Amino acid sequence: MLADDGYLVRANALLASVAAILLAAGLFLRIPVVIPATVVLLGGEYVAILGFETDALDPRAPLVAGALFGVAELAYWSLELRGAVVDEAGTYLRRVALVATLVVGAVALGVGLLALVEFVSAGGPAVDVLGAVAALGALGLLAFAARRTGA
Amino acid sequence: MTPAASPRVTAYAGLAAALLFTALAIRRPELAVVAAPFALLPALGLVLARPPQVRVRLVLERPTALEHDEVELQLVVGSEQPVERLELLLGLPEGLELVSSGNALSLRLGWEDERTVALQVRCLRWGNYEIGDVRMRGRDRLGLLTWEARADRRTRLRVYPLPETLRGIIAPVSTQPFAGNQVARQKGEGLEFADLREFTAGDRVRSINWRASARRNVLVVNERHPERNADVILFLDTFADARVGDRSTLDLAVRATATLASRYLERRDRVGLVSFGGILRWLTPGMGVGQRYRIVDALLESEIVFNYAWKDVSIIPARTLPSQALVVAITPLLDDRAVEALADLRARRYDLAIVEVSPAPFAAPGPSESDRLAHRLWLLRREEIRARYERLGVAVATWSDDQPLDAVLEGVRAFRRHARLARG
Repeated sequence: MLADDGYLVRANALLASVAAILLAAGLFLRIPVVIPATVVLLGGEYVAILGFETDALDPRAPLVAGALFGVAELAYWSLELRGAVVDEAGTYLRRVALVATLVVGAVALGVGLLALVEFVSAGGPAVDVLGAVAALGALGLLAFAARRTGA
Repeated sequence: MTPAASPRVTAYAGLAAALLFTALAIRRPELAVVAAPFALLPALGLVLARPPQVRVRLVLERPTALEHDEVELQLVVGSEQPVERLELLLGLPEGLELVSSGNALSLRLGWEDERTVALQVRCLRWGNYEIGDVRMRGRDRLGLLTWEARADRRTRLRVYPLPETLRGIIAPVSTQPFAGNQVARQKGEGLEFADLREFTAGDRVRSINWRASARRNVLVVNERHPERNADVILFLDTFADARVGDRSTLDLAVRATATLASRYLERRDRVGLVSFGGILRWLTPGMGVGQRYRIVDALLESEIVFNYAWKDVSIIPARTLPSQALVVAITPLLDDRAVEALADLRARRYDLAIVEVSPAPFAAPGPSESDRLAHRLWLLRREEIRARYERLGVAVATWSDDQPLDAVLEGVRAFRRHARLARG
């Protein structure tokens, strides 16, 4: 398989290093936009792996989802920690529990969705329309969030 | 409260949209799986979020303090609904600082919860402060939405200037008819021995000096000086000050004025205040503890207000400057209007003494030769002003931060003892 090819491994390692450096620099300079950029880079890597590997469903997808989500959550938390606010005792433990719950939830959701896809296994326009609706829903959410931020 | 979305919402929604479109484009459902948590979390957060209803109270340990005192401030925060994270920022005016932690803190509120946060505030400078500008930021459980609000719970804190130690004060030349602690120059009923004279009809037997009478073979009585009070006007020059960082001549002048007012009032003198500057403020002479607080409260309002209008003593209400009053001027002698006004007071035969709060430590000479020359000329001009006052019979004592006020006043007392020109 191409994924076993040394060239792809090296390219992925390079991209992952760039993403890590970008994230570290962004966190150091307190630039929040580097967090989604890092996730996009890492997601791009995953897309590349998917493209080169197989047409079958990848069972690692929920783990990738959980990992990317965990990276984003921890990165945003580290930005919040660099503020001047003094936290009361127990705040960090609660946040760790929240992040862990969210990551586990993301993996569980991924497993469920993957199982659903396996179960339905029907492609065609219905699934495409569903995907398009979901994407548009995400865009709507984006617009809603932008409106709230503007308010 | 004003809502705002966290940057996470925008970022996650954007990521979810990008991943879903990519999933559609390359027809890989795995990317939809990756996108799912990024889409679901903001959606859940926005649906479940409720604006927090937070109430805030501010409790001050005491309404008054002295400079360098520490005062406890309690922020009482309550809410009917749980607030996962409530950030509080207490705005403190310049002159006050928090002792322990920063003034931004976060806490978590449960159902019908009330929490009290105790903060120690150190008073760095005298003044009339209003504390209570509290800014709040509440976050939902997932940290996706924030609500910001500002609570105005202003409470007044009066910080009085730290008194200087004084063993003696400037004794007035003239006294008033009321009883006090100042030995009057006149003769009358009192404790202090003044003179001897022959007995006349009407003299009390207890005032006969039997030893002197025996030596002279004629009845001789003691004459005494009565103890009277005096009128003292504290003249604070607020035209200009010299400042370096958080130290200024006005700070020192206010501290000296408050100290002198307290000491004179303890002696049962009538004390008045004239704050002569861009804004004229005055207090007619009065006695007692009430007058002391009136004076100190008036001093807390002292500030330098720039004003180019020429002002002289004629604008001061006459009842504020009673004749035969001792006028103690506390001034940096920086503004010609104050310098001329004091000379004018002397010309009107007021008993005047000047405590010069030296601006020299606040004005170091510049690096260049011409700067140093200008500085020397400025110091010479100040010498000339002091010499002018001394020619008028006015004692000028120069006070700077590094020496006790008591020692400076001793210089004034010595000048007045020897010059005997106070009423010249």
